[in-house]
Order: sequence, then structure tokens, then C-alpha cells
Amino acid sequence: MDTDRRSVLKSMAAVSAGIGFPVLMTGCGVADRSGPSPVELISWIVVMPNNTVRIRIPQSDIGQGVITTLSQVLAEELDLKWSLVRPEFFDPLTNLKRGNVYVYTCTESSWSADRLFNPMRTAGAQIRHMLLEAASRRSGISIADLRTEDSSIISPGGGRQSYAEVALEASRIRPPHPSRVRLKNPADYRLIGKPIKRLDLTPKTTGALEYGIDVDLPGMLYATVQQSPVYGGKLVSFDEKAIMGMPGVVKVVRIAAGPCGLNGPIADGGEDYGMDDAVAVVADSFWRAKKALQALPIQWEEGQFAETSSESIMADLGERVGLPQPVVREAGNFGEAIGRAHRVLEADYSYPFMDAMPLEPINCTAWLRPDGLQVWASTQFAQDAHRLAAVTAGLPPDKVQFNLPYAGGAFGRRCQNEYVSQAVQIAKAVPGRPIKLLWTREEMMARGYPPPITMSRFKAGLDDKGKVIAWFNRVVSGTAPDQSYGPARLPHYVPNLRIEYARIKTPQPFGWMRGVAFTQHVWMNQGFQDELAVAAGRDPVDLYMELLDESTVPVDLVDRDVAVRRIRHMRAVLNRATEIADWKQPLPRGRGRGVSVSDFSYWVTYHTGTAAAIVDITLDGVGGLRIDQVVVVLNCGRVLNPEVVRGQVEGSVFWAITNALYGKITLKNGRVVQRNFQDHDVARLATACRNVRVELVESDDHPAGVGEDAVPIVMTALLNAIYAAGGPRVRSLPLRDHNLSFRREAVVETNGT
Amino acid sequence: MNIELKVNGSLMRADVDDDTPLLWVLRDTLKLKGTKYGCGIGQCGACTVIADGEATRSCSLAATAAVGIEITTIEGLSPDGGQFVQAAWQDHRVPQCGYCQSGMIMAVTALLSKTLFPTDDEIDREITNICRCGTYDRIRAAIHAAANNRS
Repeated sequence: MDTDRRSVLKSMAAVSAGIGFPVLMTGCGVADRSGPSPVELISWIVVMPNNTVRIRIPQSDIGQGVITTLSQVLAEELDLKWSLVRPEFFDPLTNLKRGNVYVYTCTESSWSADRLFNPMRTAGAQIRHMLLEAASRRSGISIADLRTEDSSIISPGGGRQSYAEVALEASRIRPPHPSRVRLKNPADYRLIGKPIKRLDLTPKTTGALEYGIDVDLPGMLYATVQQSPVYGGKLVSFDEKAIMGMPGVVKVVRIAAGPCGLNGPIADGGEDYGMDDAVAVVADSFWRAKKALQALPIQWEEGQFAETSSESIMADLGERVGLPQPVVREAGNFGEAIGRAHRVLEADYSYPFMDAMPLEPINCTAWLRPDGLQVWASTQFAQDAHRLAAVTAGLPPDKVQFNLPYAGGAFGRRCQNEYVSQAVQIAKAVPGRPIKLLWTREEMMARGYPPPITMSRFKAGLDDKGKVIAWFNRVVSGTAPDQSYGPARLPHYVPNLRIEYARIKTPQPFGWMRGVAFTQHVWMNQGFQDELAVAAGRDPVDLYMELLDESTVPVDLVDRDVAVRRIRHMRAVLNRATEIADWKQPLPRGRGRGVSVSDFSYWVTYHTGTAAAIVDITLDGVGGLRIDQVVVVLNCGRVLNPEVVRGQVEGSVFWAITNALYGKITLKNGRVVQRNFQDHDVARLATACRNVRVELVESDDHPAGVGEDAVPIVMTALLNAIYAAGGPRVRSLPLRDHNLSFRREAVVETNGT
Repeated sequence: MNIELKVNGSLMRADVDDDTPLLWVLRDTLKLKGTKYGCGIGQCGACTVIADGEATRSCSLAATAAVGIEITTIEGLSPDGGQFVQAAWQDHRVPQCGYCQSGMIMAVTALLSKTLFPTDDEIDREITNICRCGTYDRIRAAIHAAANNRS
């Protein structure tokens, strides 16, 4: 037991009760002789004297509900009484010291359910075995004759011992090897798969739940920051004399640019992302810090992107998409097939920069004291935030205590931890005083992490029956990791196909915004497929079904079984969606229906669901759009909690609507043009669809992530529906930039009938 | 300057600059942290409180202008979540991240104090708060349920 750390924890807990401090106790040697003590069992739980159990959740809760769903998983195997479950966030330092005992801690890629289902069930089963063995030793009854129920061990005569009674003894028992524990038969699940209410539901309706922004410490100072307004710019100077006389101003801090963290899970490597120079003002209130920073004269050297704009980037992409690029997938002979095609179609699609814009602005609290550094930050990647805090402070990791509060949304934005580095740099400038760094909304919009701006050129050939015989797609995108899987890992096997992919450097660092590369490529691919269906006079569902044909999967494909399974799942959800939405039912003039189906298996390591969407819309003919109905059918394997999963799908629907209607960040002279929500609207009740229907497919498969599946397909189905309703063919975003009046030929057609 | 505010039925004193928005006085001086900051320009509604019966964006109201006004924050509803809008929010499992929900619940409480049974169009017009998690469908259902179930 690390007594230093414990005393720090105790003193910190005293000043900030309510923030989820890990109670770090090992089973052996900490028993307080005056009475029962909390007992930790294999890092995952702490059994409290009153028989409540603290479960360590090795993920961030950013609204997706892991604090509840992952508790369900461990509590299931451990037979915990649900009312005694008390989840808490994991401690990155403990995880570091114990060699990544929590297995997977980065909250991204919709991975929580997939990555932690087995480890947390196994931990529950191991602990259950330890408790049973302890009870057996104490009572002399063999383990085989004991059973567990509601956080108690039941003997054949009906006698009960609570887990708390045997926990200390259990902590001295060597945990069974994970391969030796027997997991429950899913037929016996009482918690997994049940629509249990979120454990944080009530405090999220009373204002009591503490987010990072709510951290409050005695003597705390407030800071706000401005990074270089031009990406990649350098700080030349600032005139602090101009503001030092303003009320409450304590200090102006120069924040150095530098690496700001790994944008990806540590275990998988990941890329280190840059943070630009910044200036922070520290004051006795946020309001005063904000006013002083606005008044501070700052000189920037704008750097290489000072002349770069969205327009210049689009021109560059447009030029490159006209030139040959590296081939990332090829089959058959595209050139030959396109030459004999009955009909050839071409189209260019583009996708703008976007911004995740979580509602809780970026913030981090840091407190540097002689005995170490304390940090509080709502982040998606606490483990790396802890590492970054230690590096920035120049302290050994065990001198840094990291506290993970709830996050007011994240959507990929909190994968980057540059604000943690900023807060620690500020704390170093005012040692001994806790500082809370809070970004303004304007700073958040100025410094987002967009998905890559992208242009995509398509060319396809149809035979005389309207069958796709040739498919070409050339993609050039801005700064991003290699996302060639987006265009290349199509689920279909068109016999003659060529995919080319290239990237250029663009000013902003890349971010994993909800829906990531799939959103743009699923939309572009299926937007163009919808064009093919229209050109061939075919129902797009029939065209998709023809493309999703398992007999077309090459027999020598390495992962052929995976490819076939993808196709089967996609066909099944698409079929079901057409039934629910009554797809064949004709719609009156001005109304339209669009369809899309996809999975995230585009990227092999991404284990999320398969989903289909059908969207019904109405155009009023003078530019108005109403979204009448959204149907989503999702197969995500075993559902951990249907209400939580439905919430994630519903959220994805409105995320897609925001992307489609408003999603665009514009660069001018290297700066983001949009400043706040007045320049960048998002879906609200008035724009939201009033009829969202979600169906979850029953499945015993390993649980898949659900946070993003509906994003690309709902966006695609919506945009296809606009064309079906007589509106324009949308090949760029957002819709706000388009005239949604009826097409000329649509007017002619409808008038003629 | 020193001001006295009436918040959740109690008189509270605060020393503020003339232009300090009510939001920051509530959060950082009075430590009522259920009211949230989202945009600072009255767009998102995370900071919504009820001021003399009106849903008001506290980021856009100077604290000095709030003197003499009855202010209710989320903490002034029911600490255990039993107020009828809060209860409807729980029944419909509205919150995801939950960050916008204080402001939503205050805006809806104000709406339902004037309009007994708001139509969908009235809801669209009156509740303009932003939820980035996209809980809108459940918000709408919870508003209708709250209207029907209020005691």
C-alpha cells in the first residue's frame, strides 16, 4: 500500500467530496483493527463494510452510459445485488503501477462493450470464486454446495454470509486463472440485457452530478486560454502590462507548443498530436480572466497556413482528384469494363471540415504542490492524460494523481488532451494554488479537431440490365491517419473495381469525431449508388441487395467468412428496415424516402454493429425540409442494456441530422470562421425528427459498439430522400448551402403526371 | 460591487463586477453548479434559470440586473428529483451526458407554468436549447408526459 498516496487522497477527498476518488485498498495489511475496512479484490472492486461494492469502470462516461452498462457486466458474474452497486471511475496511476490491469481504458471507437465484456465478466467470475472459497474455508462446506445470490453466499441450509463478511479472507486467496473460471450461461442473465435505469439518471436531473467544469477547490484560481488563432502559428509577444491592472488578474502565462498526447490507444500505438503556442490569463474569476484575455495585446507569427482557406484546400483537392493517385484496391479490369458498359455515370462528392462541439467546454483543473500534482479532467483518454500531466510537470508518474469526472459530451473531441498540458503549464506558473482552466466556446470552435476535408470522384458502369459492372473511386483527403478503408473496404465485390486514395496536409490536426471516416465514405458511396439506381430506373434497395451478394465474394479471399457474414447481416437489417418503413408504399408529391445500410467493419479492428436506415422527408417546394420519420434497424450483437443502446442510436440520428443540415467548419486565412453557435447551428427540437423508430435485432453474438452505427446511414438516407422527393442531388454539405426547391425536371415530371 | 440576489427563495450576497453575468455568480460565487456554461451568448440554453417566472439565459443577464428578481435554479426544484418535470425526465430516461438537462428542465418548467398542454409546435418554438447527445425525441415525450401527470 502506498501510504503517501493514500494520505494525498484523503486530504483531497476532504476538500472535494463527491468527485469519484478511487478508494485504494489492497486486501492484505490494511485492515483497520478497530473495525471492518473496505477490501479491494483484484483491482476491479472494493467491498465496503456495509456490503456495497465499488466497481472500477476503466472507461470515461461521456454520456454513453458505461458507468451503468459495464457495472451490469461485472455484477452479473459476481451475482451482486444491483441496489448495492456503486461504480467509480478507474485510477490511471493504479492501472499504470499494476501493468494495465484494466486492459482497455481509452474511450473511443465505440469500443467499451466490445473490449470490456470479456475482461469484466472474467473479473466478476474470478472474484466470485474467491469469495466462495473463503466462505467454504470458514464454514467447512464445499464450494460445490454453496451458491451466490444478491451479494451473499448461501449455504445448503439456507444460511447467508454477505460478501463483506468474507471479503478480507477472500483477498488472501489467489485468484483462479482466467481460463479456469466458468462464465454464466447467458440464459441465466439477470442484469445483462435488461433495461436497467442508468445509475446517474437522478443526479443528471437535479444538477447534482459533477462534471469536470464543476470542480471546486479552496483558493482556486481561474484561467482561460487562447491558442494561436492560425493553426501552426507561433506566439511572438504579448503586453501583460496592459492588463495586469485589471481587477482580479493574477498572472499571464505563456504556454508552449508541443506534443499533446496520443490520439489513440496506448496499446495500439497512436499518433502524437501537436498543440500550438498559447497565452493564458489567470484571475480570481473566470469572467475576469476572460475579459482580461480579450484585452491582452498579443502578437502572433501566423506561419505556413496564414494564406490557407477552405476554398484553397478544395481547389487543391479538386486538382489532385483529377490526377492518378495510389491504388489501394483493385479487382478485374476497370478500364475494359467501363469501355463496354451500357451506361456510364460520373460524380464528384465532397465533405467539409466539421466539429464535434460537445456542450461542456474543454476544461481541466490542476494543482501543483510540493508533494505532487493533482489533475481533474473529463477526458476520453485518462491514461494518456495522466502520462501527459506527468511529462508536462516534469514529475515521476507516481507523483501525479489524476481524477476523472463525468464529461458533458465528448464525441471524439476529448481524445485529445492538449488542455491537460495547458492546465499543468499554468499550474506550474502559480505553484501551490489550484487553477481551473476553462476554454470559452469561441476558443473551442477556433481549435477543433475535424474529420478530414475530402473529395471523392466516382465513375461507374452499368450493363444493359442496370447491374453495376465497373466501379471507380478516387479519394483525396486532408490531414488524417490512413483512412483508405473508407473507400476501399466496401462490403461489395463489383467484378471490375479500382480505388485510389491519397492525403494532403491541411492546417488542423485530425480528430476522431463521432462517425469518423465511415460517415463521409458511406454517404458518398451510397449517394452515388443511389444515383446509379435512379439512372437505371431501379429501386435502390434492389441495387444494394444485388451488390450485397455473398456469391460474389471471391473464394480465395483471406477473410471470406467475415465478408460473407457482413453481407448476411447487412441484408437482414436492410430487409427488416424496408418492412418497418413500408418501403414500397408510394409517397405523395413533395415527399421522399431514402435508404442506406452499412457496418463499421470497413475497418477490420472496429467492432461495431450493422445497421440500416430509412428516412422519410417532405420538401415544401420553397426550400423547406421536414424530416417525417427515421427508421433504424441495428444488429449490435448481444445488447447489454436496450434502453442505453436505443439512446445511443437516437443520439446518432440527431448527430447525423446536424452533420447534414449544418455540419461545416470553414477556414479563412488559416483561421476558423465560425465563432460560436450563432454561426454554426445544430439540430434542435424544431429541426429534430419527431418520429424516430429504432429496432434492435436479437443476437447472442459478442456485443458490438453502438455509438456511431446510425450516423452514416441516417445522413445518407436523408440526403437520398431529398432527391427522391424531387429536390437536388446533394453532393456536398451542409444542406444549409443548398437550394432545396424542386429540381426542374422533377417539376416537369410531376406536372406531367 | 455588493449585491443581494434572491435565489431559490433565499437572499444571497455576492461581490461582483458590474458586467458579470448571473451565470458566473451562480456557479462560482454562490456555488450553484447545476446551471451550466455552454456558449456564453444565449444560444445553447445550458444556463437557463427561471427569473420572475420567465425562462432566462443566465449567461446573458448581468447579475446586477437580477437584483430584485426571484431566481430559481435547478437546485431550487427538488433535490431528490421529485419535481414533476424531473420525474418525467427520469421516467423517459432522457439524459445521456446530462450536461444540457438542467437548462432543459428549467426551460420546460417555465413553459409548463404558462402553457398547460403545449403542442409540438409550441414546444419547438419555446424550447430552443441545444442537446448534443440528441435526446430530443425523449425530451418531447417527457414534456407531454409531464404536462399530463403534473399533480
